[in-house]
Amino acid sequence: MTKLFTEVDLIRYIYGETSQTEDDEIQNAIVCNLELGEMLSQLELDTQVLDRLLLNPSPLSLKHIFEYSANYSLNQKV
Amino acid sequence: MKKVGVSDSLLVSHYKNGSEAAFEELVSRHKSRVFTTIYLIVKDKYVAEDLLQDTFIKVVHTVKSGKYNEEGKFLPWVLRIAHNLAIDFFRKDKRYPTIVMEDGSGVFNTLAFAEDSVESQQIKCDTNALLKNLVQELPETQKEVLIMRHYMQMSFQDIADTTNVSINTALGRMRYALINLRKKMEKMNVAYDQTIYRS
Repeated sequence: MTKLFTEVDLIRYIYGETSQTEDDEIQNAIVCNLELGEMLSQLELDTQVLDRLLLNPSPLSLKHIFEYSANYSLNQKV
Repeated sequence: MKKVGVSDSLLVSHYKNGSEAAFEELVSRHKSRVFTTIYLIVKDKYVAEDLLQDTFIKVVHTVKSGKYNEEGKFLPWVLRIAHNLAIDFFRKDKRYPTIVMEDGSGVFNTLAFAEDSVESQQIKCDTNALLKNLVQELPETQKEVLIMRHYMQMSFQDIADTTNVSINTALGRMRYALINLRKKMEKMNVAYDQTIYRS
């Protein structure tokens, strides 16, 4: 008998927070349960979409950071 | 998403030994995730730029003064600094930092940044800009979990401990955050090519 999995279980699975045993059970369950497979695909898509939200800071901010690091010893009071 | 090449740990080690190139690689590698984490909390690009610099100034000081704890992973440590600075900003500021224009849009959507004006013009029209707004519209508790899990890469147990809720509550909030985002995107008729994201 296949164990029942919820969306929460699948979210843990997507984020790598399930045990090896749970991973195997989920992978087996997906083969037997089309609906579960679709649910997993949708959740994977939902989380992958979030990666499109990654923003970049301005080059000027990075320049300041690198300059601070390069001049760090000069900035320190001896 | 596994990183290939030199590990963060090795880069930190090189940086400790004086390699500025190693530090530049570390910053380049993680700048987007750190900046996005800050931005989603403070909702203001310019504040986020300042806090990003403050974050890495703390990193520089800690590593170069020999106080960096090798036991922890580099990125979670940096993200924790960034998160704390962003939260501190709110505590000091005690106001919603988003400037709203006369037409009701956020000032972020009206700015063309000197460094990437062509790109920012394009961003206005693509899914990213809309997605940013949709994330901002999520209830605070859901947005908090989403930022901590997806961008800060904290475990659900750590999120539960940090936010003083049970792990089931943290997981439930993440589930609702994803479902709500999906519904919002569907409602706004945002289509994305599913094949883009297939690995």
